Amino acid sequence: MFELVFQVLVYGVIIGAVYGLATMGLNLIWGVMRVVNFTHAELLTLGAYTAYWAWVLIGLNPIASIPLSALLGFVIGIFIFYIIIYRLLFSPDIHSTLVATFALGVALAELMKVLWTADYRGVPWALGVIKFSWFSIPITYVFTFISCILIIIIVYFILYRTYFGKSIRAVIWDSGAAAICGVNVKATLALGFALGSALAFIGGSLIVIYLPTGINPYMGHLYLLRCFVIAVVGGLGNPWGALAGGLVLGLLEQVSPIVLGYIPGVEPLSLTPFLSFLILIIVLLIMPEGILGRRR
Amino acid sequence: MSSRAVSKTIAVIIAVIVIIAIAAAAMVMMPPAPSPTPPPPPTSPITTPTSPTTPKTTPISPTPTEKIPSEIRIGVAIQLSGAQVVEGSASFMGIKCAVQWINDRGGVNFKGVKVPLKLIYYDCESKRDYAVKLVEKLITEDKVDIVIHPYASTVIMATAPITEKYKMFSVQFGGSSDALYQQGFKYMVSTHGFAILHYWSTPFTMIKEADPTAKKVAIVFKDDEWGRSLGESARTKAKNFGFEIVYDRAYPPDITDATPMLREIAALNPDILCVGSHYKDGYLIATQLRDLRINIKWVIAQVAVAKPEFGDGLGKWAVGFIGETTWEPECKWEIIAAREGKEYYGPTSDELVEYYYKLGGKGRPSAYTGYGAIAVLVAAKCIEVAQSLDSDKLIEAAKTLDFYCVKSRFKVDPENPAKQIGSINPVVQWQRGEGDKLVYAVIYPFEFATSKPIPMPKWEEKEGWPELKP
Amino acid sequence: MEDVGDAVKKYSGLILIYLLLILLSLISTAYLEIVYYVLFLMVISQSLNIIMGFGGLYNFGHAVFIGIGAYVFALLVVQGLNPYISMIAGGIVSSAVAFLIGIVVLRLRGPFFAICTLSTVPAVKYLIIGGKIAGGAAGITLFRYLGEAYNPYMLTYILLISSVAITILTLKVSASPLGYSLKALREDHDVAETSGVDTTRCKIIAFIISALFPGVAGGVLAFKIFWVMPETVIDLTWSIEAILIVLLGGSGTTIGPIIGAVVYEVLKDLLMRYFPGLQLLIFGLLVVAIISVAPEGIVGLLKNRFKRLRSFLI
Repeated sequence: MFELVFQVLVYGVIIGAVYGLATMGLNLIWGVMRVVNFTHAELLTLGAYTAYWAWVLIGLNPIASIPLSALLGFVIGIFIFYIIIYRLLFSPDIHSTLVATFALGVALAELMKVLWTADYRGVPWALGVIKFSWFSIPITYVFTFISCILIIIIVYFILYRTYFGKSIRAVIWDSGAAAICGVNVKATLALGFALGSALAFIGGSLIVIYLPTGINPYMGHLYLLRCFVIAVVGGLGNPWGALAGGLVLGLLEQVSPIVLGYIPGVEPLSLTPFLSFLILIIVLLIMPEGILGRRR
Repeated sequence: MSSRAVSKTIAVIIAVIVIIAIAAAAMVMMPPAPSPTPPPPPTSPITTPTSPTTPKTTPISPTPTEKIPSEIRIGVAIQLSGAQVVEGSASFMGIKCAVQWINDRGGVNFKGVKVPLKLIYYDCESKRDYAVKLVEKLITEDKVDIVIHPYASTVIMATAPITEKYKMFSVQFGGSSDALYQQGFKYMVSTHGFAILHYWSTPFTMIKEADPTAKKVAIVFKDDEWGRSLGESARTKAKNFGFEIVYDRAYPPDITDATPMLREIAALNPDILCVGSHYKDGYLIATQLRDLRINIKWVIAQVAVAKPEFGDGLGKWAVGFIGETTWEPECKWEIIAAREGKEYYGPTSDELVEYYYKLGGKGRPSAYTGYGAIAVLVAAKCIEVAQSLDSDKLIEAAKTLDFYCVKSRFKVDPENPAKQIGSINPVVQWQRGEGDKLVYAVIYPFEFATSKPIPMPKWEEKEGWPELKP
Repeated sequence: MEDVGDAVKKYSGLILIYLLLILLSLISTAYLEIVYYVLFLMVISQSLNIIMGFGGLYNFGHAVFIGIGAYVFALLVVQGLNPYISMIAGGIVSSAVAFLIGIVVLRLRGPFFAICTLSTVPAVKYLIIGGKIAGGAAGITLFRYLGEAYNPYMLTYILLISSVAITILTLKVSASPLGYSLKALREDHDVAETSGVDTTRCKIIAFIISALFPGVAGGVLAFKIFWVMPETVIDLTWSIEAILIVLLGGSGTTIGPIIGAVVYEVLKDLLMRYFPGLQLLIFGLLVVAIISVAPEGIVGLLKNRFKRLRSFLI
């Protein structure tokens, strides 16, 4: 019993950390500019492809390709922001950014399909496992977890120890007041979006470690529901909310199949995503600001 | 009401009446659904009135002395791009190879003359809607004699009604869903084995022989139509073979993490693990079995194992996985045909491979090549036996056939030609060969097997091995 | 003062398009297929227009209604019910489900509504698969019940009638108190509330209406593909296409989605011929362009450029 609980906890936390990291970008972008970035899924996919091509062309393992992903994500984020988002931020219709990012996502997925075909690709990176008598965990998972921690620390530094981070936090809190205080809001928004994009790319690269094969242009959709649940449950405006949400979901995905297994006539593993959706609805209804969001 | 409102309302009513009148007139004047039989219960008037001059919609009318055509047109709508490009183009290559093989020998024997086959094909881009459109086009505009359906059961379920509507003899090679022979299709033959009928029996037979102590079976399968059939098949066969089923669960089709499930299975300590998977999920489960260091003596995983990518990706860790396949270049069904005294028709596997490279194929030909080839071979054989292009004669001919070809045996249920009953799945296993090679071995049928089945070596043992190369 | 002439002018655009579609469908079976797809998209886009165009609520989960209609159709047909009645039943059940979803989801605003509705699509899929409802992942096959009765002309004309019906509905709603209330709450929800508009009631009614015809269309779809399973009838693509078409044509107008559907399908067909595989890519970019440059869609563009067409473009 103890072994089971321990395994569930360890796996849940490790996977949850990656989910959380992958979603942090979503929370950040919402916090900074009140835009739900529906392109998020495709940014994740692009990050995964970055890791793949880095592996195939340069021989970098997914963790080593994180700086590359981050850089690419950042640049592409700036690009997307200036070309599309900025125009629409002040339009009277609040749905413009929603639909635009969604459409952009569709376009990106199709572009990937044209460039790289819909074949499944994988990065078969394996380093062996650490084995206890009842429990084994792949070394790659451990490295991933450590990288997550490191990246979280780096993000923390950026947000709390740099001017840029300070301006982001200011804009999240109140963009009008920030402008009065001399913050260059436009630049901050751009950099905030770029940072969110970079985080999505990094998340995508890390996810590759869990997915031995299956990188394809549409893989983002697999994580779409998960990311929304995490973002909302954790608290949309708060990047750390994503981590909280990620942990919740990671543990849920490990525990729920066991619990649901007691209900006859259902398939517990297939029903788990539905369960996460129910949680999404409940949270949206009674606590839309999420666990770590600002109480309005 | 003000006069404005009145006129507006009148205008609207006029418009609506006009539209409905035209629509009704169009419906009445339309050629009716060519089905002279009354509809099944409940008897509500759903068939449109049959006009007495309904033409029989087969391309060549069954006159007593049929003309000998200059070519026999085979229509194919296939996935040459899109999500199923891999399966579609590989199958299409098989089709082309078989057509070429037949034409190189002059063609099909038709009333004493050799008539070549002509392939008319379109890319349906892996979209079911296009496939339906294209099959309709092939029949009505291109006037083909026989249709070969695209790959994938869900697509065939949509294109079969079209070929049935026109009473067109058709062959399906790429649908293994049992639903396909439960619909009452009258003019379609299947060449592919079905999950419930054909899968799992041979691996189970072999395991029982090699390891009589094996008792406990765990079954997992993908929660989609294909996976569910595999799961059901495994369940039934396991019971028939006297195994004890200790675990029986589905996993979501786009699963990204099977560890909760695998952990539960590990705790139950089964002797056999049956994975009713497709490629991606099968591969995922294999890697996670490795990562969790779960040792099970016999692991059978469908689809994923029977692909070279499995060995490429997993290397030495792939050793021990068993899978069922449909065609491999090593197959030599002619041996079995000779032994059973049955006819062998068409190219041997070696010849097929030869044509594969001749027509530009690269790398090792995949199983799908066999899928496509048998479709053409069956069509040709039916023509030769029926000596006619009339659909009724062709389907009657199909019901009498029992022969071997490059993709094992073809025999359909005479009551239900869409039900293939003769097909045999070869079984493969990844093994460690001489000189640290990774070998993709055929272990069944024994007549052309390259080695014997082995239980899965423990992960800890494989850790000590050097990297194996194919 | 308006007379019959003006009224006819106003509706002639619509009538023209419908006549054109009918004529096209009679040319050959190939054209019939195209008209079928145009009408399918038309019906679902026009329905979406009611909640999205008038109410300003971007329902990303619109595809769910089609799926529900398809499933209800399949379940009833298997029991032996007449397929055409089953289609209507599909529409009714779809509306009922819309009511249930609506009372929960319509409280949410803007992006939250979008996220939630977007999530309903995979959620319903997994509910059916995981809960093994109506055959679970394997679904229900229909050919043996319906094969003999298959008549593509009938299916296309059912869609045509549905489209006409919803056009009339849209016109009526547009000029009705419900319509004005919806447009008011689209512009500013809180002001509308304080002005006395019962926003909840309006939103729910609009939502229910928007689910009716996609439900019927779901039945038609099931009849066409003969195999109802989560993979084939619950497809996010339709949500995307519906939103795209409403925006492309002109959100909130009556003729907008109609024009949008025709343009979209024609473009798609052309692209299929000359740039196979690139359709969605180009459309994604198209939508982005429209949002940035022409948020009023084709109708808006035409109204601005060709003032004389204004009376035709309702």
